[in-house]
Amino acid sequence: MRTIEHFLKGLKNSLASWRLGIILFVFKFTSALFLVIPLNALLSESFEHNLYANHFLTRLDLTLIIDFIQSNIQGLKVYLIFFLLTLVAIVLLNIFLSGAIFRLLCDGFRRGYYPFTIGHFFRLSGRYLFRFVRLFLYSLLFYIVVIAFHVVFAELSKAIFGGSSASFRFVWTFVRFAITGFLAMLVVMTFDYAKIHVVSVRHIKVKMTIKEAMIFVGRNFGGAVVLYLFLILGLAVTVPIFWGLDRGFDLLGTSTIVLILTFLLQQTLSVVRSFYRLLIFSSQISFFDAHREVLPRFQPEEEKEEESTEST
Amino acid sequence: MSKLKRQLRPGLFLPGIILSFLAGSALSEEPLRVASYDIEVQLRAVEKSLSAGEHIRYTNHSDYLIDTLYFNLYPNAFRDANTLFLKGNERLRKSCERENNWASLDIRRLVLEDDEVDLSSRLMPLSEHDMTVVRLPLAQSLRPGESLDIHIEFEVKLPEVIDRLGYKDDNFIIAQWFPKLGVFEGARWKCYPYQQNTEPFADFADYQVEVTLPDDLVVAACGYLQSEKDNGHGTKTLTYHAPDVHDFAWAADPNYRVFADSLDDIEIKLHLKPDHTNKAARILSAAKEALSYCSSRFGYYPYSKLTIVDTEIAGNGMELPTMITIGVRYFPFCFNRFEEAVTVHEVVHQWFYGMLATNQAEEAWLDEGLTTYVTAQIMEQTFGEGNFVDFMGIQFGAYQMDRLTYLWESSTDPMYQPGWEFDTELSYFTSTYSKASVALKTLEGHLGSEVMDSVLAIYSREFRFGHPTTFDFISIAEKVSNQDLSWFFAPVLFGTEVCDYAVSEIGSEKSEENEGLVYDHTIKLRRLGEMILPVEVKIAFADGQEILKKWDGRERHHEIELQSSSPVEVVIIDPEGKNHLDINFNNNSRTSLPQADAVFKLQTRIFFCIESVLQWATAF
Repeated sequence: MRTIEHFLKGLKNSLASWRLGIILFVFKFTSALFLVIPLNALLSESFEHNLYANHFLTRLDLTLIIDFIQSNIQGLKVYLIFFLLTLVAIVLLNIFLSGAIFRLLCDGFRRGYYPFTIGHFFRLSGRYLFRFVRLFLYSLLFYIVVIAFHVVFAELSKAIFGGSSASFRFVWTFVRFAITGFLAMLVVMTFDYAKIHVVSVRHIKVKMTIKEAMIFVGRNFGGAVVLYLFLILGLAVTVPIFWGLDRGFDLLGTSTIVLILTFLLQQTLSVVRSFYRLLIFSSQISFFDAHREVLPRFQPEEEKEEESTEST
Repeated sequence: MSKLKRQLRPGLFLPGIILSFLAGSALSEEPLRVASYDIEVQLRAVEKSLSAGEHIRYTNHSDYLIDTLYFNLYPNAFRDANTLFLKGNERLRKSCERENNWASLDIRRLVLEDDEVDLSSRLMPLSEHDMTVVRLPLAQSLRPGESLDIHIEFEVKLPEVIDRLGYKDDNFIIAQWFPKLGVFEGARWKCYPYQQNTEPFADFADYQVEVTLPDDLVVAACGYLQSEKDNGHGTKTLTYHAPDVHDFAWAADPNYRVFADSLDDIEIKLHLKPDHTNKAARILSAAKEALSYCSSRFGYYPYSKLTIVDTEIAGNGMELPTMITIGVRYFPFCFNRFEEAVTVHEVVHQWFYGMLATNQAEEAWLDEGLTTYVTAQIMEQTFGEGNFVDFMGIQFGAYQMDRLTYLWESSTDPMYQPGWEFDTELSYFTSTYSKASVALKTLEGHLGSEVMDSVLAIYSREFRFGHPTTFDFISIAEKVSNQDLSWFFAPVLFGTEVCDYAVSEIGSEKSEENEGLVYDHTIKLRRLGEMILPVEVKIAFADGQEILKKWDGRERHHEIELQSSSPVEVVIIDPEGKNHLDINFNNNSRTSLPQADAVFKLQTRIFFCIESVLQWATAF
């Protein structure tokens, strides 16, 4: 029941912070646009005057896709490098925005009001940038540890269970991936709480926030995990819903209006997913605030100082 | 079903064109039996070795004197790190060295006729480091028509499965394991060192094999089980007879589950590991489809048994006469028809390898290519469009898989060359399997399906129980199609060039003439690849009129100039999709108006995928 309560509080908070959702969506939309433009040039060259391209109206013709890849392999290699470099830049930009998003969500949740100016948003982004970048770098270390664990665990499993039946090995492989997925989820979750900690506590070292986030997750393990799994499940539910709607639109035909409606449906899902990101953060903030007294060193930032910052 | 009935059956399915060619020629019932092999082998399961005695009776059916015998000793390909096979496969060589995993075949004794003189010390390897071929000079030449008895005692050390021989836990696969004579053809021995990308080549023979092994092992073997004897002391002896085949292999495992089925009078036995029994129905069904398809087109299956064995070997499956192996995978979800495709492929090999025993070492495309081509046809006929993968709306057929792998490496090696001359294993695979399949599909496009069916049917009947060559196939294709096909076979078989034709431009100019508005069109076509094949060009106009032009495909640039009362809507090269060797279908057509909706749909889908990737990126 507590999980539902945090979920509902998070939902209320994220809807009230709708501007943040729009920022996330616009950021994602423009980033995707930036990434897709060079690829569109290649696609247009191959398909714009290609009679067989009309197959794409009814199905994904893999033969045409394969020929496209084969005939543009060099261009696609260059595009892949561009894509990866741009992705890194987008991740860094997202980290830049995250500080303000976390802070404004915390403020909204704790104080119940949602003042928003672009200037204030970017000031907050700047304020937390370096701490969030360091958190990101630390999180990469944690992910490396998780991957190393997965590899070592796989080798151990091979040595121990290599001779067992195929069905057992198949199930065990699933279990191994589930364990790795769970550990990766713990890292994501812990670093979300560390971010909440960073925007909630003044003058605290990044390492300390990670330590305290780990203590927090450790002491509230069951609740934190159940909440996160519940939130992930909610996001997963959108996939079959979208799939069903997309298929339904396919049945309507291949007219231009249907294609535009399909595009709008895709963007609606993208908006929903942006808000869902806020919902995940907000629900975790609600959970954090409900259990933060367990942290020995938790010292909230002074409200006066915060208010003066906001008024500027 | 009686042999007569089976003989008549193909006629019910085949078109008239084949029947006219076959008129007066009956199917060969049995091959020329060049040799007979009588082998007694004991499997020492604990020591992982074989101990055997072999009696070969060889008859010289040639017109020449034979003064030397050539034997293949395949297990010696894995004797040490210096063999030709392992030198050609760096990864396998390192693995053998790391695991200290080696195999060997040692001839302990060899005598001729009733002589008591052991000639084993006179055996001479072809090369210092490779013992996969040994030769024995004869004191007295074997004259045409004469026979010779050879008695051999030999030991085989089994490796943990390398290539197609060895054990894995308590599963044994014993293929290419005994001293086997090469093929004496055209006044010379065709007996090749076992190397990467080469396959065995042998004469048809009569095999009588007695296998003694622990009594808890379930055995699958080529041919027919004649008797089973319990020896006591925990061993049993099984006797197999395999007539009119050119190889003998067997597999054993204590945990095999055996499933039986039949098609007419052919008994099908499937040996599966316990974890894979959920695939039994699928595999048996695929085997029956393939048997039925091939019997009706390429001549009846002359044996009353087909054995299918689940075992782990290099590659996904292996063809042996009357027996096939498939590497069944434990994957409980049905996203693909991997097992069906492998089963169909290996069953088709019962014709294009089993009965048409081509020289796999020198012209592998002839059996692998034909088999891959026919496999794709059977898969499409049986399972429809998404016959290989059918998952969440994504459909991919076996033939598309062939074309994909062909495109992957389309120009490294020619299709026709000895196995050991291919650059890599991938190049061997793409050339002899995939390119061959795509090329035959192209030939089908040019000749028409009915003529192509006739080519295969007549080829498979004419050379049944023989050793046909590439030139026999070409000769049949030319005879049946009644045309010179060198324009096709020369570049496709012996060249590495690729085929790519494109519509590069449609230019139109309007002018007023007496009859009214007239359009002058200039259509520019290009040959981007080096391979030259004739192509058809369809020009469709806005008023619904269509023109079909032929282009021999030789020039680099080709212009078509024409006049019409209506603007050109689209120009299509190869409108009927005959030329599957073209490596890029995307440039084979050009429309006057852009395909805006289609491109928009594709672009928005990709855009949404990128947005989804970014959703993940915002988790940091």
